[in-house]
Amino acid sequence: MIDSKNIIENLEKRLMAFGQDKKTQNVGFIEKINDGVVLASGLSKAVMGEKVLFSDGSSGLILNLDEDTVSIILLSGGENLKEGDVVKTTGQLLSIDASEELLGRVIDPLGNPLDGKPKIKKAKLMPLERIAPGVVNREPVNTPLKTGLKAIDSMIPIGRGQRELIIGDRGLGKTAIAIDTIINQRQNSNNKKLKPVVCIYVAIGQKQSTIAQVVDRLKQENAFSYTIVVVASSSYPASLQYLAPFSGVSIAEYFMEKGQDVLIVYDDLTKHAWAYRQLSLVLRRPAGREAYPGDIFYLHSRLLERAVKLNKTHGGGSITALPIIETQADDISAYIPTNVISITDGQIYLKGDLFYLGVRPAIDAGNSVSRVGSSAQTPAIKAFSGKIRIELAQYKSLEAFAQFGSELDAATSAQLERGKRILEILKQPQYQPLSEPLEILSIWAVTNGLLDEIPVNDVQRFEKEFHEYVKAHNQKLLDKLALGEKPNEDILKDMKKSIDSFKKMFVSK
Amino acid sequence: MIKKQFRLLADASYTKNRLDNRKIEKLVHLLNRKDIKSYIQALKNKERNMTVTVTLPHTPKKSEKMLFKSMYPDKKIIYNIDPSLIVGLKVIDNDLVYEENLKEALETIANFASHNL
Repeated sequence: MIDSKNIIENLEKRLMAFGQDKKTQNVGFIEKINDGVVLASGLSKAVMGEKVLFSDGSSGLILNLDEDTVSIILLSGGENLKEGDVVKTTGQLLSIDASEELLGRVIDPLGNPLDGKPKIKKAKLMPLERIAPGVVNREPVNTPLKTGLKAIDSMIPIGRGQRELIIGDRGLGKTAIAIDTIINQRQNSNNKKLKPVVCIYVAIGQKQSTIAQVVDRLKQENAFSYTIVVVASSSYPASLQYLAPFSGVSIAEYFMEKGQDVLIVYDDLTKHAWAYRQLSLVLRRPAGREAYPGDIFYLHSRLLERAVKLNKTHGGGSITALPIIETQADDISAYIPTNVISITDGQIYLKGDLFYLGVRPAIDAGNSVSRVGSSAQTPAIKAFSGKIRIELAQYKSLEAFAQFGSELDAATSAQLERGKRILEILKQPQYQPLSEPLEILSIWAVTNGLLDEIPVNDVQRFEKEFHEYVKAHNQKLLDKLALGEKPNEDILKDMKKSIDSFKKMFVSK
Repeated sequence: MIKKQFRLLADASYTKNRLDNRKIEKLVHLLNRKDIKSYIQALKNKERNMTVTVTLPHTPKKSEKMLFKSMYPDKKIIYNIDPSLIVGLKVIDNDLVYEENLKEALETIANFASHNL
């Protein structure tokens, strides 16, 4: 048994060890406080991005280094600060505690819990600013990340490690697509054969009520256990709104380093750009186009470059990013939208006209693209999805032509009718993502003309009931399609048989 | 006048590391009220730059004074006594603060324990 003398000696040794490092502080004095930005003199050894502590216990982040002064943005508190107060460097870059305990939690960008539960312990400190993994550590996007939305999984597929922008005017369902994608990852977490996906939802500059609704919905759909919500609502200072996506991606990197796949949603980067513009103007940085600072492109590119698919030697983890951008009056050629479009690997463009026509999700297939996702599609869905995009494009051009009212030949009329049914099949209610086999069945049926006899108004009902029918009567077929392999003749015959037998029942009803 | 010029003026106000009153009198006559304010600030900064404050828990011994003199040969050293600084010392060199004491070390242990245990 260890006696008290040994314990004390041991403690003394540890005490000596503590004394050997640090205890050198760089101090300065507050010269000016202006709109959440502190100007301090001294701090000659301060480093860009370093965390500093004020005499009242509040913290800040160094964002500007001048000849005699440094500019610090306040991260917390700061109401009692005054001119002449002491500010000390900490020698640490801004970091966030990351661990598995964060799953199912709501936190602010500094890692403080907002859900009333205790602060996480035994965490790893992850720096907020970090250089993205290099080319050698990466591998091409090759694994699908299923959204459960037919329109996306068939025409604009997303792969793990991809950055796919969701862009559109306000109120068109951008967040709904992101939330559906998070909900769809439930099948991965329930099925031990599939690799689970950790989801991170970063809310930037949104109303607290909207965020509460999202959290509530995720809980209702049993999607909260594998999700982390990072909140910097509109009532938060611009500094925290600026840091929120970096906090999210730092947590994502923690899981990625463990070989896990992560999905991160930045909702939205327009407000993030606004927050950064506000900070930059207060910091007196030169303003450029639309008063954004010159490094606004770099801000988003360095954030989105951290979305990556690592190769096997580096653990094989991935971060898939779904940034959201809100446009004004469908203008995708504005400054921030064009910036983010050029950074990402494709975009899902939502159009107001389609939304008000009842096409939901209101995805404009013509302007939407996935630059790398097709290589991540499973052979099963790839076999049928190629046709749908062409048929839809043909329908769109014919539809415009048919509006002149001239008589159409039989082939054109048939093509128009087919197009209407394709459009109907691509409609999908919110919070009801589909599994891949069901998506395949729907797309295959409509593109092969098997729904041509069904009235357009009944297509959605037909689809829903057909899915129920297959689940009840031909689970084996769904299991075969779930393997993701290109369907052989037997499977195609089985699919045809199922739909024919159901069609008879449906028509007779 | 710009900040850099005031810094040069402050540098020029010293003779052999000491403020030269004769030089200052000459300079002040050439400055307006606003410039004098900036000049005083520059002098204060220079003074802070040339002064080291050493705080010890006891009266400094001759050997300790010699040690600090060798460490800061060109600077004015001011000694303070603070008995609460148990087994430690504090050196303030312009905006750099070197501090070591038992209380700080125990706080570090407490922080480490609360974060990791």
